[in-house]
Amino acid sequence: MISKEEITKIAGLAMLELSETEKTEYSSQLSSLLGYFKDIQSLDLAGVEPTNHALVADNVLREDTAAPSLGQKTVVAGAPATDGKSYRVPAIIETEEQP
Amino acid sequence: MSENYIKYANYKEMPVHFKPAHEIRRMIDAKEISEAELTKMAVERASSSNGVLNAFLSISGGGAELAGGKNSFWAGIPVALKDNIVTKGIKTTAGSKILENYTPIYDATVVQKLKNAGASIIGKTNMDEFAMGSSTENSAFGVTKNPWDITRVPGGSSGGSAVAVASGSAYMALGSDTGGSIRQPAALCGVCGMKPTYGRVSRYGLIAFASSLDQIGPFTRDALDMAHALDAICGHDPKDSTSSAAPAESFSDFVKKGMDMNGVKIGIPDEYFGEGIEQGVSDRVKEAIGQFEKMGAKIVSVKLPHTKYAIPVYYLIATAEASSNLSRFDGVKYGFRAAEFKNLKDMYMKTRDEGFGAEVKRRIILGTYALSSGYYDAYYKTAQKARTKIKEDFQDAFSRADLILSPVTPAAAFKIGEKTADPLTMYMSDIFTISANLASIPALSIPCGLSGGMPVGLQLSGNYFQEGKMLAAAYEFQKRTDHHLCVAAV
Amino acid sequence: MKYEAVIGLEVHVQLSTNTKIFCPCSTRYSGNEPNTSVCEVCSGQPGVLPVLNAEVLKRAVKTGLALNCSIAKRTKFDRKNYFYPDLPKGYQVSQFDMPICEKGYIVVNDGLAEGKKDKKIGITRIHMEEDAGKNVHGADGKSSFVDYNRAGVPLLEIVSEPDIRTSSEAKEYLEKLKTILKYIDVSDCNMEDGSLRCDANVSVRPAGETKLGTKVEIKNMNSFRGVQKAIDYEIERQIKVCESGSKITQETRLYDEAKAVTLTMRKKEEAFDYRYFPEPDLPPYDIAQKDIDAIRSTLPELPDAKFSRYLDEMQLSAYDASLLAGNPSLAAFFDRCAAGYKNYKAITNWLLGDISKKMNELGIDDIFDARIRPEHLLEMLALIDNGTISGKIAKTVIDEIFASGEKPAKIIEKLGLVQISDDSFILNIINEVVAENPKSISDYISGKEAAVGFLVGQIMKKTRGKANPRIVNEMLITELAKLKNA
Repeated sequence: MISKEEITKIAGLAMLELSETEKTEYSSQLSSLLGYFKDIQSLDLAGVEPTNHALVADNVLREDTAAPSLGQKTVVAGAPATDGKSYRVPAIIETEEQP
Repeated sequence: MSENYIKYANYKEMPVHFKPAHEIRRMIDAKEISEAELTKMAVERASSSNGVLNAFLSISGGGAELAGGKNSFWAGIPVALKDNIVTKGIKTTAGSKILENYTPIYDATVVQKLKNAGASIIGKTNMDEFAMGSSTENSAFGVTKNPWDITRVPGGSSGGSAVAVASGSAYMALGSDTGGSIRQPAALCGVCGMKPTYGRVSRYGLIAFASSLDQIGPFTRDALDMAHALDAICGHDPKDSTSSAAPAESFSDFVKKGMDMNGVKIGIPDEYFGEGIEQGVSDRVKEAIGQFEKMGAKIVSVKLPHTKYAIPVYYLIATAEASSNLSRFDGVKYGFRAAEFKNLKDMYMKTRDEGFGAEVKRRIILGTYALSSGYYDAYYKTAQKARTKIKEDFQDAFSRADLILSPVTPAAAFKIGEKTADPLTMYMSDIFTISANLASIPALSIPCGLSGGMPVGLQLSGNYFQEGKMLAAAYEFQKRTDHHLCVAAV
Repeated sequence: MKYEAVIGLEVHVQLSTNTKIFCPCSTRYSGNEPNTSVCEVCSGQPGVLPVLNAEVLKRAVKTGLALNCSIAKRTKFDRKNYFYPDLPKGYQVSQFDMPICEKGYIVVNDGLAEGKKDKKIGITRIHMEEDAGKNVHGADGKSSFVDYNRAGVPLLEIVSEPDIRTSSEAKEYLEKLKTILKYIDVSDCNMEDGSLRCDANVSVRPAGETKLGTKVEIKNMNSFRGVQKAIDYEIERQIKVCESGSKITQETRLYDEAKAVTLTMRKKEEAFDYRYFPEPDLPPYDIAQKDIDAIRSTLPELPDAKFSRYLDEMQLSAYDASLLAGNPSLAAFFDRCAAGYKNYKAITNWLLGDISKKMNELGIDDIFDARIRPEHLLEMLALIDNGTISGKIAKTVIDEIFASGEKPAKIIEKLGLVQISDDSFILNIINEVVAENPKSISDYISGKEAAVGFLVGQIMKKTRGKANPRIVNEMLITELAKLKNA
């Protein structure tokens, strides 16, 4: 069972402000889904390599050759708030939020 | 009560809007119809039906790209795109409020390819928000209706694209398939749909749901059109590190050559014919097996013993990747930002709370949980190991069979609202489609008859990069059957 | 009680590639407007995908080899998830459990200060990652502004073992690291402009204790000097806490350069849960031994080897050898001169003396940014040796080379600096000076040898420095001896 407190903590990591109703709902739904997952614990997975990547060829690289950028106007045009040159966000308090 | 569908004897009898693209191509080349007329007709059909079906989120004039690809198959033919495929200068929402005003600054590689081929892009189609759903009920912009019965869902998440083809508004539509999001709506709307091998089609410009599972693919009227569609969109893309450098033959040439079905081994997985399958679905699929047998195919039994783990494995991997992929929607660079907030963190939380719908939030929470400290090994890593077992199942099965045949869904289209209350039941309906995504193999859905007046789909899967063989087998089936000639009465 | 500090450093260096790590945007945006070196990929638009810059992988391997690391046979990227405005995608593409390089070391103290012993500082790992953008704080205090020009610039994170014991050792480690990275030409390594950044993990324990104390991470140090001062402050602070009987709190602290103190930023319980997982958009990379060997063959002679060669083969002093070896450009300049001139000490004296002084005056850091070339120095040394110019005149020649970039021979001709070796001319001047300075002559005759120096000075003055001092000396002494014996 995933508690509401755990859901609150997870929501914080995911930057989602959930209502109390949502927290209750998600805590029971997630618990059920993880219940299904319990079956997998009975599988013998010792020595099995995890599929970290889908069907892919290794060593995909590109040359270090510059191509034109899109330009300031194009890039910031779609932002909800800008000064025309940069994206504007509420003031960042470094000591509190910087990772 | 009049029938909700019409069955034509052949393509000739069909009205222009329902004909397959290869027939339209012939007509354009024979000057029986002009490209401009076609686009005009498609745009009108899309617009006039949209009030009821809500398949399109935006309809454009199309035709603008006629300059390109005069000699290509798709030149001048109206096509539609799922709204999670970015189009430069054309609003792209992924069915989400958080992107309701987003106009991309670049074209997806598949869009570039279609433009180069001269296809007439007539609109962007409705979908479950960020492709999370199996019914297109999770769109922030309203439910899409099944043209066979507007009280029923078209399936999802690419419901809009399936309906665009099923209702005769587009001759081909692109969707994306992460756990069945092309094949399931294709089955439920009576059209053809394909999820190619992972890496066959570039994902550059597909708004990511689950990066290791997502794949773009086409909806079409028949298997030959599907081969033409794959010809147009496949190929290595230097902008997508996961796109395959495997050489792509001309699928349409291969399909047109015809395939001798004698001795082709078709595997039937026991695990896919258990309890919980609607009688009509099971009957139609068994009839299709009979048809293949009649055509000379050898029916063999195969085992996919880890099938029962596929759903939890899928939902953990898909949501974990999604929780990370959807972090970029934070109200800073594009799209929606909450109107009121106290500080930076509050801006993030309110923007995402108001911008995302319930299903998306549910999946972000699940995925974040699966990756969080202390749970990563137990959930995410274990799921990736179980995924390896599922992949191995298929490799084993393909050592015994050339193709695997199964139902696409346990049931035909359900009623709108029927499953929204319980998301877990909705997840369970993906049981036959998600394994192909976990195994990265190609799989397609073609119509194989009706159950209770609603279309039923037949799934053919192949080993990596065996699309040619799958398409040829599907086309041989369609040459001898008429299920694909049965269309919604709209 | 005596305490011992245990220090580990995490260094981020920006690689000086042409383009960003995952997109073809240029990394040369310095001085440009915000958000000009930005495309759909590095601004985190929906649907974009990364493709690794081959040069980043190559330079990471090169760095690993130069730092004595073992290179991974297989490496992959992972996503580090957190929200911050300068991070366009809400995750940083980094490396978690399969870094490109592991288990290397740097030797410090090798001759930089004589009498100290060499010490190996272990390198735990080196990994590749993308840089974040920059947040600029608005004047009104209500807004911040985000610029993605830096977003996606390739970084190497170089993590040391906790082998460092003092702040000066930390500084030496950083200086040595910087020198090596400059030698192999992978990064500009400039702490002031942010192309090299350093965080420190500091703990203290009673001397003789083998268990590690609780560590504190220090961020926000902007110079090597700052690193040293921050560590000194932190060690002292932690010892005080221990001596007061309290426990050290595991936390992250910021260094305040103006006040020279460290201040709490966040406690451990507030630590981030980064939810690392393998980046599904980037397939793994297999690194073949032949590729590693090919990269190894491009490595230049590194500072430790250079130092030994200067010391043992060229007989330079340890001090001179370390100064040269510690400066990649100067060392390259020296090596090119030494290839054509065997008096290595003379080359060293000019390079570390007048030429370095001139560079300081002009604010030139890299000798190859000045107009002087090895050929200039070689030509000048030859002109001194054959008596065409004096060492004193040569200083004027150096000034002129820095100013005009002209060849020494041309400068000497242009400025009329050729040394006067004509005996009769010099004799005339000597006679003049002798006649004008009877006091000095009588001093000399009465045994004051120092008078010679004064007289030579007078002669040189009359010839405006152009007389050959050796000949002046010889002839003057002959003349004076005649006077003495007369």
